[in-house]
Amino acid sequence: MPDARKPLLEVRGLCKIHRQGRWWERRFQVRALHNVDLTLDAGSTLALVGESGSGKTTLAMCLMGLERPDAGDIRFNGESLREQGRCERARNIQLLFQDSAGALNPGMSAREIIEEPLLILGKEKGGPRRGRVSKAMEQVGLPASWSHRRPYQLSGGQRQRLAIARALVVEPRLLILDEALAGLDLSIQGQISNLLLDLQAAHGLSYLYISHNLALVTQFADEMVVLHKGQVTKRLIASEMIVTSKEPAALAGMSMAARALGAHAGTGAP
Amino acid sequence: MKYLVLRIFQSSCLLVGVSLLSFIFIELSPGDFFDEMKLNPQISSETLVQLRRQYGMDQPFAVRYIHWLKSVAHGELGFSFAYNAPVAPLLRSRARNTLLLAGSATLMAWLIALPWGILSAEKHGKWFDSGSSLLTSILLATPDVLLALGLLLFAVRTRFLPTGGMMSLAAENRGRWTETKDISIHLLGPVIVLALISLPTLLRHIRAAMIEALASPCVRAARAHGIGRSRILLRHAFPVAMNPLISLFGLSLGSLLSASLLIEVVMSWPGLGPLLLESILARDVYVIIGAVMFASFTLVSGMLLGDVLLIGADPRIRTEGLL
Repeated sequence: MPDARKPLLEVRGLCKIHRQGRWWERRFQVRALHNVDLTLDAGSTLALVGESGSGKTTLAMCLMGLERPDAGDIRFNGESLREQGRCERARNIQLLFQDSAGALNPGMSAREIIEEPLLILGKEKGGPRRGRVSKAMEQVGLPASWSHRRPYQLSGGQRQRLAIARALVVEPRLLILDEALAGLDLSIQGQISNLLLDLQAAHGLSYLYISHNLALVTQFADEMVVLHKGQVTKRLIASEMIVTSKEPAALAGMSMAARALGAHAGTGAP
Repeated sequence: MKYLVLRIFQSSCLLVGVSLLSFIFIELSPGDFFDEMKLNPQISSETLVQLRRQYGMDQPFAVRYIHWLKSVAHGELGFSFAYNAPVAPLLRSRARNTLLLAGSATLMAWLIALPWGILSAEKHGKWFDSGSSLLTSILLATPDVLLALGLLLFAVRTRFLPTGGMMSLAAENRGRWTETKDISIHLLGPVIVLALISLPTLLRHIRAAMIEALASPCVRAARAHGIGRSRILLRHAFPVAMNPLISLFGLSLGSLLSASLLIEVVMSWPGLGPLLLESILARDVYVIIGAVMFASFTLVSGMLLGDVLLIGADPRIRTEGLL
């Protein structure tokens, strides 16, 4: 990666240990993250792959401030995130969950869902806010006339679009996609990933793409980091993303399509 | 709307079923109101036969049931042997007192349980939560009667609260305000006991529902969006947790009524409880059935109210017709 570009996100020596068990139970510790270093440039996509339990989601949670890291530093645009409140963080970093149906409050309409982050961040009021909501809906391909619909009145793909609209409405600079395309059928996966690529081109967004699915990762990412048992075991840039059978984390949980793609890319490589 | 009509129809069928069952059970139990008179040497057997005929007790079961249904249609609910009067007016003032007691207790229990349960769920695993769990376990394990007797003891020793009844003689006919104040003071004791009885169950349900809601993806997502604590609790987690609680509300209203019957007897509240006990001992059949019907009616209406509130609260039920 070119050194001249200032990294948007810098993670240095991040450690997180999950402690479980109450005082009367046997306590045990799970080392979720150990000395993780990451760098993400503005406008680029970093893929984070690894088997279940490798610490991918914990890393996302640490970035969002939903988990407190035990050691290490996260810098966003050169500033440490430790000093920032949740609101300030949410202004710059947004997270897209895997289960979009569950991540949207069933009692709220599409407009209320998209509007809420603006409300919390105190951005705009009344008319302009409504305008921004409609714009965000159109951006992700949802008709603005659907603003009164509730999540359960939308299909899976439409719900995912709604979740993207909610994340984008505050104009964040980094979007974390935590298995955001898993569970959607292939055509919708394609649609959403095209949408994400378009949005990246239009707004210079950066993505941290967390996934099992190597086929999508290779389509998406500029760089890939493999996590295994909380440690970074491999870093690959786009041209090197060939799956090697020696990598346990890459093998586990990998889809058949990705394996085929990996093999194909392997044989096709010069 | 169609659903509501269906539910009301179902509830009425349920009530008819309850009345039939009550009739059958009383029919199966040995003896009746007039049997005790046999022991009295001054009453001749001819008089007893005549009395039985007068009150229609010599008729077969089905005829008596149909007679009773007719009197229900007239709004009388049968005839009390002991009071020599129709049952409905007899029950009316008693039922009002019982409803006042059960209603206030439900309100008090929910007003305490809601904030407490929500806070307990938010502090899940911390000392506040563990402490309140311990307290609810102790309350759950304490028999209702013991709670009532404990409060009575407290009332006698400290004289902070009246020890029974609904109004002191001194307060009678001394203006609406004095009467209301006096009734409220008399109400306080039984209401505290009843609220304490239902509190642990409510607390546990509210806590469990809120813990589940707080762990739900939509609340996690809301947190990730930087939404503050109180808005998370009230705007996101509580509406998610609300559905089972609404059903519980309807049910608690009815179940508290049956608990209140016992407490009324112990704390001498002039409600249905003492009347029911009296009429069971005297085998005053129609009063028993009337009281049972009133209790079932309240339970059924409570559940119906819960369902209606549920439809109002959850848009998914409205549009998808899940119920």
